[in-house]
Order: sequence, then structure tokens, then C-alpha cells
Amino acid sequence: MPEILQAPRVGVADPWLGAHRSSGGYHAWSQLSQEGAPERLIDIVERSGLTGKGGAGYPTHRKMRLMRAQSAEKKFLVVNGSEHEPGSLKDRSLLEGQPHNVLEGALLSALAVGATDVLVAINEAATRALTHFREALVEAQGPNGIDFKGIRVAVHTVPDIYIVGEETALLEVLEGRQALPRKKPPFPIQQGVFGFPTLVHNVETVAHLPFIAREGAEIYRALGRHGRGVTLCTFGPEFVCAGVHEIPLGTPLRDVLHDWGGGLRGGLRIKAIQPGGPSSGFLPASLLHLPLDAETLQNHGSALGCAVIRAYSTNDCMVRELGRILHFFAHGSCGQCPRCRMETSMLDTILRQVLSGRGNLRLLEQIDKVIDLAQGEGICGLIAMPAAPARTCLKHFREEFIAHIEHRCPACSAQHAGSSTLQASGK
Amino acid sequence: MKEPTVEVFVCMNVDCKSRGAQATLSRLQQQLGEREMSQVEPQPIICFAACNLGPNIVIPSRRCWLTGVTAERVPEVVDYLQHGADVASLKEKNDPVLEQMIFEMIDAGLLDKGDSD
Repeated sequence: MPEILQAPRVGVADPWLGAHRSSGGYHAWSQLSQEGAPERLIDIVERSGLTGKGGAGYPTHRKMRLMRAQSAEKKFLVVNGSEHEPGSLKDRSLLEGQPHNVLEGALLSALAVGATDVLVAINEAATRALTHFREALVEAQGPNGIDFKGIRVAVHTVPDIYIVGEETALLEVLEGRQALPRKKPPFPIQQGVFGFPTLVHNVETVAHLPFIAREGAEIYRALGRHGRGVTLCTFGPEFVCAGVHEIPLGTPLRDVLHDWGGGLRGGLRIKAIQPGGPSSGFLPASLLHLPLDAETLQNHGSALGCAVIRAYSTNDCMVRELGRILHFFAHGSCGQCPRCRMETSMLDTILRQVLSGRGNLRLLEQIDKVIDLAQGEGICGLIAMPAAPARTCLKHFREEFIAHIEHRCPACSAQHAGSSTLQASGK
Repeated sequence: MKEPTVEVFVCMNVDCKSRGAQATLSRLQQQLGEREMSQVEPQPIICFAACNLGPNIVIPSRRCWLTGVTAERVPEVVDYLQHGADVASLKEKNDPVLEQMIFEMIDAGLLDKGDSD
């Protein structure tokens, strides 16, 4: 199986212009920029089935078509490389290991949608990604570089704060303001950076475009098990083969965990996984026959998200793991919306109380009510994030909550309280 | 015989603070001291998302949620605690759904001391 993004070879493969060209790089750009009908790329993207890789999974062609239809003096394409989802490494891997692939994808999309400016936002903590992408940009703009066809490309560093990953908060940062999500509508495609139409793509999303444009939608689709292409997954440090791997969509989760992840270190048995980062629902081991596919995961209360795969062993306490996640969301909330602040702080408080041995069944029943009260409220999506992990953890591991309430959690008495915490202000 | 303790939760979250919750708490402590009501214990409360109505006060033992309790209106609260005076005007903006959740949370034992930071 070819790996179109070659992310596992970061640090080994040559990231520079000559190597990119020799593997077919900028061929698609040359073709598209010379033939006079760049919008045809949107049709190819539609046939490829590509969906956004930042977490929401929105069909990429729809956003591109909406953007194409906007007319304005300036139109921006923002390439979101802020990558604030805890554990995610794919975007920085691409920026570091394949900066020209990201740049070519950004140019292709910009040309197809009629964007005049490309802003590449990179997390300030991803220093090698920043350095490599900047150097690649200098190379591409140099004497033996490529013709950008008038498209301006700039790199912006953005702070390592969780909420910056939210696209409208990112736009605020790009305009030099505090990272606070905007009310929608207007949507960024209508009024984005400095009031101009703005299309926001995740780094990985644009990195798929050169292959799709060069090889065609059908070849891209055939890379996946059910014709849905591929995706990059970041395996957590608990895996033997931790890090970023390219996985054919549709692969059974059990194969993903063992064939790519190598299983858990120390030969531990998997009790549960989260396939899409901390905001995705927990799936117990009994559901590992499911395919790695956004729709299937959603039907089982989980999500593909940005494909950060975390696994929990039979030695782990799921109440403690949920507690870490809810604590993270409480601290990651920007505080702008009262209901979000209430929901995240209350869920955090409930879990801390249960973990400290002062919980009760009545308190557990409040979790659903708190989530229900927050449903549909809030400016951005963060308010919805605690729902799936909290509900699925209670659904699949209720016995562990009871064990905590009754002061008999075997995992916690073995581990004590020494687990690490997720950080909302950094990795 | 010692009178039972009456807990009074005062929201000290960002919004309530910006609406004067700190002054409310100080005035409450002062008034309770002046009236020798040592059985009443003010406590911080976690945010219940009624921020636009703050400063918020909840008196669990009386199932009473009061909104818009600025420092100037603290004497009305203390009168209520001391003599059962009418505080209807401090309840008129209460959201019934939120009010139900607040008391369900309290009944479930959420607001333990030390867990309200």
C-alpha cells in the first residue's frame, strides 16, 4: 500500500524541493495553474470523497465550492496548523517532513477557489515545523522555485492555547486579537480574516490535494477499504509504535491498533479506546471489530475527529481517565459563554468529587442533566465536547464509577493518584 | 442549644465578580458579624451559568436562589436570613430550569466544601 503522505518517514525522508519534485511534486500545480480551469479540482475533490481532517469531517469540496462562489477584492485561504488537540502530531509532522506537499496543496486549493492570499497558521510550540515550512517557502519562492501565479503566502505563528484550534478563534488571533471564538453567522467563508471571505482548511486536508489532483479521485478512493481514501492517525505513547501513521479508512479498529500501533507496550490488554482524541466517545474492546470510519464511529457514540488514537488497558481506571479529560475541557474553555463555563466546571467538579471518594449515584445522574442543559448553547463547539466521552464512559464502564463510590476501585488502589494531566495551554 | 449552621453560597466566578460579588461577600460577612449571626456561613459556589443575573447567592437549606444581589441589597438577604423577610424581588429573574438543576446538584451533594474552586 503506498503511503501518499509518507508521514512515518518524517526525519528520514528529504523534505526539500528537489526531493518533492522528483517524487512528482508540483506536477499537479503546474497542470492546474496552466490549463485555465482551476475549478475542475473541486469536482475531483468531490469525487475523491475527501473530508476535512481537522476534526469536523465536513466534505472538503462543499467548502471549496462555497468559497469559489464568493466575490471580493481579497479572499483568504487559512491553512490551520495550530493543532491543539491533545496528542495530535500529524499536522506538525507534515509541516516538518513534507512542507512542499502542504504548500502545493495550499496553492492548489487557493487557485481552485480563487483565493488571493494564503495564511499558514503554525503552533508556536512546533518549532521544527515552523522552521521547515518557512525554509520550504523560501525555496519555492527562490530562483529555481515555482510560479505562485500571484497568490501571496505568509506564515503566522499562533499561541499554544487549546481554543486557538477553533477556526473563528484562530481568525481572531490572525487579526492580532485574543483567541475568543466568534458568533456565527456570518461564517468565515462570508466574513473571515479582516472581513474578507476566508476558507479554513486543516494542514492534512490540503496535504491530500496534490495526490488527488495528480493521480485522480478513483485512485485516491481505492487506497481505503471502502473507497474512502486514507487518513493520518496519531497513536498515543501507550502504543509500541507510537506516532503518526497513514491508515486506509475502513480498516477494522483491531487491525489498526495492532498492525499499525503494534498493540500496547508491555503486552497489556486493551480495555477501551478513543479513536478521535479526548472529545471522542470511548469504545470498549467488544467494539473493536468496527471499521475506522467517521460514520460508523459516530453511530456508536464516538468520532474520528482528528484521529488521535488513545487506548486504555485493563489496568487503567476509566473514571480517572474521564476525570483528566473533563478537567482539560474545564480549563480549555475560553470562559466566554456562561453555559460552557458552567457545564465544563460542573462536570469537572463531579468527577473530582467521585475520584476523591465523595461521590454518590445521585451525583452521577446529574452528568446527563448538565450536558442536556448545555446542548445547543455556546458560540463554538467546545461546549459539546465533554458529552461523548462522559456519556460513553458512563454507559460502558458504569461499574467502575460504582467501584469508586464504594471505595473499591482496584486500578486506583494499585496506581494511587499519580497519573498525568492533559494541559489546555500546551501539549 | 446551638443553632444549626446555614450555608450561604456566593458565586465568585468571573462574571459575578465583575458585577460586584466580592463587595457582596464582604458586606454579607460584615452584616452577619454586626448582627452576631455566627450560625450563617458564607461559602464560594461554582458557577451555575446565571452569569447575566449575578451576583448570585444560593441558600441551600431554604431552597432559595437570589439574583442581582449587589452589596446594597445584602441587608435584604440578611433580613431574610434573620426574620424571613420577603426577598421576592431578588428571585423574579430566576430561570426555573436552571433553578431546578441548582437544587438537584445541591441535593446530590455536589457543593462539598473544598470542591467549589
